[in-house]
Amino acid sequence: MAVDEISTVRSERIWTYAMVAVAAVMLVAIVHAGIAQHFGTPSNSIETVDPNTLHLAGEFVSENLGTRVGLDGKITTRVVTTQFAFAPDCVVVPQHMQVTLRAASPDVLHGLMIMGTNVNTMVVPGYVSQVHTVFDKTGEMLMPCHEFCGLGHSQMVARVRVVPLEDFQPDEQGRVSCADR
Amino acid sequence: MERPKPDETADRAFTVKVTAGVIAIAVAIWAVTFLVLPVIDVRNAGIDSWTAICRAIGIGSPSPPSSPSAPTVPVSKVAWTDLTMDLLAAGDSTRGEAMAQETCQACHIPNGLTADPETIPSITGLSPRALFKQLRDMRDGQRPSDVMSPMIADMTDRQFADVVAYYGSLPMRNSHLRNLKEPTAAAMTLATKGDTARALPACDSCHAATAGGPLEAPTLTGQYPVYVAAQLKAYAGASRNNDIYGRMRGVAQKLTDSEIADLAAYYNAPQ
Ligand code: HEC
Ligand code: HEC
Ligand SMILES: [Cu+2]
Repeated sequence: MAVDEISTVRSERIWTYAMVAVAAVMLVAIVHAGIAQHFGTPSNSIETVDPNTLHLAGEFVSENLGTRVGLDGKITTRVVTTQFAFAPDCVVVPQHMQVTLRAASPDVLHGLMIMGTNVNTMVVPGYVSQVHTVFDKTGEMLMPCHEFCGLGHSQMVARVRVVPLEDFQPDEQGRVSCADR
Repeated sequence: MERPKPDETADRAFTVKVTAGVIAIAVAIWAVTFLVLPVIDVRNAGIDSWTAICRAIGIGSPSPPSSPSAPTVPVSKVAWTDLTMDLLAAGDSTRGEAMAQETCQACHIPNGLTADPETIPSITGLSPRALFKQLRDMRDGQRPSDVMSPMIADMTDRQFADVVAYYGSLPMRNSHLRNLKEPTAAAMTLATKGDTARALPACDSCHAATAGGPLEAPTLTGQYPVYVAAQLKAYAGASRNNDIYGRMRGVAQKLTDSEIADLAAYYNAPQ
């Protein structure tokens, strides 16, 4: 069957519209995820941090990890992803509250996700990964590493304990940890 | 078949439209990722919109002031910075050998044995990084040792780099065949596969010579069983706590006493 110029142009045009539509749908999905669900794009709020000296000083020293209620009442959970464990390996968060999760890696690329929530990010050495989320259901959830980080990767998992607000009792420094209960 | 002449005006109009479309989409995406999303995402970050936009573009990105933290007492002052790496790379094993002959060999014998297998670890063939980290921690107080700490109190980092270059270049200890017990299946599994139910990575994922785990993890092959068991118990009880981010304490706390004994025997067996 011969293909004439007109039908070629018509099919080209149809495909052009189709591709533009696909790109538009993806763009809308990204914007929706970013605005309504707080999925950060990788370029979003880039913050750098020196991975080699993470444990010596600054935000990600051992003493500063875990969940903490700041003086302004904001809840921040900090974790370090390292070969092959999360530090701390269990965190407590309150239900129905805005929680900011901040993570950094001292060694290689890791990732973290919590099933059923919008928490899903890579943790790239040299950068701080940040996710805002609200936990709807109480109970204990698993937070596995989801970027291959070495031979112990498949055992790298932390627990996230979501408790009702009345059971979320910060100590005088604003901390709440799994060991307290 | 005769091809019809292309319609040049229609072609040009099409090109213009498509180019404009592509540019419009690119601009929209840039606007969303560099302007809209960062500004929306700062709600909880405690930074202003301008900083957020700069960070998204990748310029000027100091961490926001973190909430007041407890005074930091690092469990180890060793950091794998370029400075440390260069220092280790410049380690001179000839100078190191002289130093070892003078101070170390009475206890850590170059053939891999030690003066007392019950208390003194074999250090030959371990990676210079692992040895350097322990020397620093023992000197600086993060791993206090009655025997080692006073002895190396006046040594410099450069001397450490020399002596670890020397010990690192020696062959690893050969296990005494007559001491050997058959490794148990449980130890073998823990060492090579780990236990996912307990979130326990295989020991070898960090401790095998080429595993690619933490830089400071020493090779355990051929280490004396009494020493291995003692260290595991010390980590479990946190009387030894110089492991950065508790990577070894977290592991040791999950082991039972019999697993510790089995693992110590396993690493004493020839691999
Ligand atoms: C009097 C005996 C003695 C001498 C001499 C000695 N050591 Fe030690 N060394 C020990 C003992 C005992 C330990 C175990 C420390 C502990 O657990 O408290 C040890 C531990 C070490 C470790 C840690 C090993 C590991 O795997 O964790 C290193 C490294 C080390 N010594 C290096 C040296 C160097 C280098 C010298 C010489 C400058 C030296 N030692 C001299 C007895 C000695
Ligand atoms: C996540 C990585 C990791 C895993 C898994 C791991 N270790 Fe370790 N281990 C380390 C690191 C890192 C050190 C050095 C810590 C320090 O800086 O003191 C260490 C130190 C040790 C030491 C002290 C060695 C010495 O010479 O002082 C022993 C013994 C040990 N590990 C045994 C084990 C055993 C047995 C297992 C398996 C049950 C295991 N480790 C699993 C990372 C790991
Ligand atoms: Cu990981």
